[in-house]
Amino acid sequence: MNQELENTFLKALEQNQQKLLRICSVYAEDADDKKDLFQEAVINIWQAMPAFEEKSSLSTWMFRITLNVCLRLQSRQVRKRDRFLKMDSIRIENITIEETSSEDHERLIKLRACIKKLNDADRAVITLYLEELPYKEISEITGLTENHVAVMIKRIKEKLLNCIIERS
Amino acid sequence: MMEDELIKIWQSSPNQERAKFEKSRLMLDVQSTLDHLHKKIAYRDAMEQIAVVVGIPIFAYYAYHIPFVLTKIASVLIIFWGVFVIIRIRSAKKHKPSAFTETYLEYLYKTREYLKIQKRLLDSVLYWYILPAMTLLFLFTLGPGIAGRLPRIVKMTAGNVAIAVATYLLNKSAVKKQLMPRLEKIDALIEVMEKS
Repeated sequence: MNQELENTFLKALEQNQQKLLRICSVYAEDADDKKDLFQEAVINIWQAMPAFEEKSSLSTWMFRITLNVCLRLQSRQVRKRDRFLKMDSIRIENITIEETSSEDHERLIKLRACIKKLNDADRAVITLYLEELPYKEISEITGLTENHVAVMIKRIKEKLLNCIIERS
Repeated sequence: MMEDELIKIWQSSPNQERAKFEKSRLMLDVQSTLDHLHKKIAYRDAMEQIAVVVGIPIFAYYAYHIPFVLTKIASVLIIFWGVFVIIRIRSAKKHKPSAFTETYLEYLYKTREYLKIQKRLLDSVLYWYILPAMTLLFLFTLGPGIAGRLPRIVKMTAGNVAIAVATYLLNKSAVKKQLMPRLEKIDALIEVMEKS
């Protein structure tokens, strides 16, 4: 792999890592799982880099790979069989709650819990929406039409808001 | 709660967790992980080929050197059957979706197709794997005749039947416990995506 490709990959990864991590978090069972999914996504993105054709933005393409990786590795059997080695060069740092508002933290936990109650397809679409991706990009990632995405998001948001209110 | 607030809460997570990379080691790590994966695939392929590469000369030897007609016929048929089994398993594996670069929906379709092919393969294991193997091994055993060998033939056949039953049950269980739950989940997801 050439140096230019490596630099593009590292730069894109740095720019999108928080978003990718957040996507992995709704498919993961715990912190270890989250790191594993994130790591699998990173490896698969790098592996697919030479095939990137710039038909969409690099970040859209990275989201697409991450979602498909999370979908595939949700099955425990698949996860056991296909798991890559652990990589020490990636760490997920938790910042102590004192540094952030505990109220924010609680609200985030509630939101994540409500998202986890959704089915995988709804989870995929809503996480992309919450990352503020335009409908066009969500459509490119999911393969749905923009209208379809809009209808889906409206329905999922209602579900989420109801769930959060119930938990409050 | 306003909808915008959902986005705000969601994006507050960088204040609580973040991924850290050691850039200098990351690329080495990624590459060595990929190398490990490629080695694993090469090993698996080699194991399949070894079964054929070792099996063919052994049964070719039997077909040539053993004087019994039934054993000769069975040996030749076992060689053809072995090659057929490898081709069948490989062609089913070809449909495994390996590129994660498809759209989510396309990936779901491909995964469903792959799981259906796997299910068909395992559901029909009795006809393309177990019964031919049993029949050919039985013919092979019968080659030298049954006179004075009946107890041995019965023992070997009983052993073969036991292995066949276990293989059949293991495949049925894999369909029920592994493939069906995944297939049902993928079907449900496609339905959600298509009908929203």
